[in-house]
Amino acid sequence: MTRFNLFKNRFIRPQLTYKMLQGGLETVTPTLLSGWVFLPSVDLSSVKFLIGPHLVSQSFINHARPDVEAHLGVAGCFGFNIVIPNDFPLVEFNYEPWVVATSADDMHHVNLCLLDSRRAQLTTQILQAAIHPTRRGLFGHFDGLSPIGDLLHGWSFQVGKKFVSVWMHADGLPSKELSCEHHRSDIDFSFHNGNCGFSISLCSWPEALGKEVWVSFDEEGLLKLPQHEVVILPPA
Amino acid sequence: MALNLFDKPLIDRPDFEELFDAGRFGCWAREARSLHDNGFCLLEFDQSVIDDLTLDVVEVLSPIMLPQVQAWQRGQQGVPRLQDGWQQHFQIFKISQQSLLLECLQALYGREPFAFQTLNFAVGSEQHFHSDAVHFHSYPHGFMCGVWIALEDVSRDSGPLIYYPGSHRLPYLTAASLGLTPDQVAKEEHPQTFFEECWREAIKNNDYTQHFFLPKRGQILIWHANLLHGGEQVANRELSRWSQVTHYYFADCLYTTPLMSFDYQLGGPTLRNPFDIARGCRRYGDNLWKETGLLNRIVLNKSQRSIH
Repeated sequence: MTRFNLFKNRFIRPQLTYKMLQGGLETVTPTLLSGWVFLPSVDLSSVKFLIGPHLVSQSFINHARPDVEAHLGVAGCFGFNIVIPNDFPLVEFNYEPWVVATSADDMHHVNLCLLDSRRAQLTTQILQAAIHPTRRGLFGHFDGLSPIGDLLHGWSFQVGKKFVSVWMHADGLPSKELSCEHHRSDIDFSFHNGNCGFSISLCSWPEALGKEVWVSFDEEGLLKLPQHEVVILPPA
Repeated sequence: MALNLFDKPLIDRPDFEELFDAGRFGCWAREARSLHDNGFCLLEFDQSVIDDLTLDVVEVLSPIMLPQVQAWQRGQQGVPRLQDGWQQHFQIFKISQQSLLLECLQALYGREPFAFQTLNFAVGSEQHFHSDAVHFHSYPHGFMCGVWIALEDVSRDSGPLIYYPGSHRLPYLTAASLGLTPDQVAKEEHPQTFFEECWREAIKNNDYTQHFFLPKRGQILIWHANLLHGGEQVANRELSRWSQVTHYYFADCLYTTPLMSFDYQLGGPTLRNPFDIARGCRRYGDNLWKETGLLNRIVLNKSQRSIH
């Protein structure tokens, strides 16, 4: 038996299935898709963002992700960032957008979904929301609680627009629209004047206390602003 | 039918220097360097080809354009031009399909080029300097170029081609970037005039120098989609300046009319389905167009409705 196992391990490779795929999309915004991907025995080298058959953007899978390496117990660079250009034309296609990871020899193509299992089934819908022409060139970040802890804040802007709105969400509560107009001297984009900050005082939203909160580019809450960590407000 | 909306022209790629050092442009390295750095490059046909092509075109077009030239000399009309003369005159078609040009463009841009429009002039065009990329452009940006061929020696007084090296690196402009509405553009007979102030400012602010192209017969200037160029005023209206401009697009792009491309709420970009002169039909036939899956409007221009 031991000798058979040795033979099997050395010469009979396990049936390769994409069920062994790990990873997916972590962030989907109108300007950036990012995540990580790992498929045992396959050298996945690049990721492509397509609308139907049309190539919109692509990138190498080459970002160091120590957290992913620790999770997988495998050394390597499994992270990727795909940029959606600000100048991508304001066109619409009757095709669905999708993201695929491909191997260096182009023999393997693996569709990627959102890593968040609660949202994985919404991947297409979320990608569609991200590529919609009205959201071209939208950037943003949810910074979470301010250092003093009295307000939630972040920033967002759209290339070529003066101000934009974002929507703050808390489980079970109606979302709140916030205008991004405060000056943020730490935002140094050459194509924006820095008047892009938003904030909301915890005092003005007592019903959200004790809940997880997050911010989206869209009213429906499909496109979450990137954030460093989950934000749960202190209880009342 | 798959569009490649990602890869940029080789001469515009951020890693151009690496491509150049790696010999990616082969025998077209000099042209690639010039187009990348200055926004134009020069070519020359073999003498045998020059005689064959240039003399034929002038001979064929002279009697056709002469009455208009005479009217222009008397100040009775604007500068005459023959658009898409390739449809009637094989000699014009032949110039647009020269293998030397097509091979060069393929090497410089990294995609298959196709001619979509020809313009023939008997005299200097006297056009205000402009970027072709407001009239017709592509996505990815830059997959369009103009090729100007001298059909006779050009003198200083005949209103030579002028151009501003380096201006190809200015931002691409559209009606949307100027905040124009479809109404404003529709009411203006020459919508290019909306952009001219921007270009004059850009030249002043960037200290671009005006250059004149005084070629010998058969010499060719290839210009980048965004290079500012035009025609000097003709000092001596008795002088001819026979020339042909052929505009080329490249495969697998979206093709647009930027001076009719607006904010999304105002209709978004105006797409084109350009004529492919070599094929004698629109680049995307009805089935191919359906396969693109595009839902935006498309405008057919005169040559797109014509059949070769």
